[in-house]
Amino acid sequence: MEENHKRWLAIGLSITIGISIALYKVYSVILPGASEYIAERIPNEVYQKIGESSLRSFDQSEFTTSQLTVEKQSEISAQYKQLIENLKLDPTKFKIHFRYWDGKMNAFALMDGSIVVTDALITNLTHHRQIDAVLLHEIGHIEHNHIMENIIRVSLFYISMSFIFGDVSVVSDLLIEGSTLGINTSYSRQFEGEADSYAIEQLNVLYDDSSAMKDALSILYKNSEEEQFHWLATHPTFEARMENIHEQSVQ
Amino acid sequence: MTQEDLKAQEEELRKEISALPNEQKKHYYTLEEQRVKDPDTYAVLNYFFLAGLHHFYLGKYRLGIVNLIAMLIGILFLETFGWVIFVIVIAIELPQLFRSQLIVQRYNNEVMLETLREVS
Repeated sequence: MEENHKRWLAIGLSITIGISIALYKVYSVILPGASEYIAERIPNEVYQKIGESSLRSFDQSEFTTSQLTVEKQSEISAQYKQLIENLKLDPTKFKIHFRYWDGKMNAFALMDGSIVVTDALITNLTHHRQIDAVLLHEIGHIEHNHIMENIIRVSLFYISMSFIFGDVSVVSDLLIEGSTLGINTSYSRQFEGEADSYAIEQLNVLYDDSSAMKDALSILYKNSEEEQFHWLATHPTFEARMENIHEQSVQ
Repeated sequence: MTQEDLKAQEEELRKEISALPNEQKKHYYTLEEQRVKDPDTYAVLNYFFLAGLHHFYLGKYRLGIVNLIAMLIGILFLETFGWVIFVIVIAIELPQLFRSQLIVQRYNNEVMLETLREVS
């Protein structure tokens, strides 16, 4: 090989290796660290406002009033309150809302610390510990501040990519949008894993048994078609989550 | 050696090249075109990524690899001691950016001399 070509090959290889490692570092350390730092410094009022407006927006577009009986709602609320007390968390921060969502089974945390559970979730979960498992998973998201951190991470990533690719063509838009979707999915899976671990840990503390988490997940996945598109799903696969639970139980 | 000394050295070499027979001169310039380096490219590769790319450009592979490995270790351990490596690499490599004209001129003079010996 000609000497000049050899030199440019060495330069090209060095750039490729350097950029790959730098991007990995940005993805694994710099973005999570920066987003955690920023998220901790955002005032509580902002969390409150975003949480409330998110729920309002869902109420206008997706949800209708819960069809669960008042007794059932009171029972679950009391169970949730007890859970918050046992975990020694601030009861004024953690609230629970019941909604009907076209028969879909779901529960999710909002930024203000409240949790929304759908009617189908409550009616399909057969044991109160399974409901606890799902609630603990959502509390895990709130305790780890996942929602705000995720928004900041993805925003920082989007801004960085815009700086790199500029705003010059459709190709750059596709690259930015595509990589942002990818990173968002990857981070979401990581957050789900952390929330699962939190729930398992707390179930073990409360009941000395985390099997309710496995049972709840089995019921949830049986009712979900999400697995067909697991490579783009925001949650890890059923098998990966079960494996995580198994590992945590063994520890 | 100062920039003036190097320029004077280049002038001497140019005189020797002019004295070559036409055929050898033609062969010399063909080789020279492939071998001499551009100081601006050297400067850009110096500050780009701090990865020792400028060393590869001048064919100093060992130095380039040491610089590249130092930079990679710096990135991997950025949150602990990595930043110290960055400071050291910058302290060593940055002066070469400001001396890029001199370094490349010296390199080119050496290349011209070697090429002249090879041709004549």
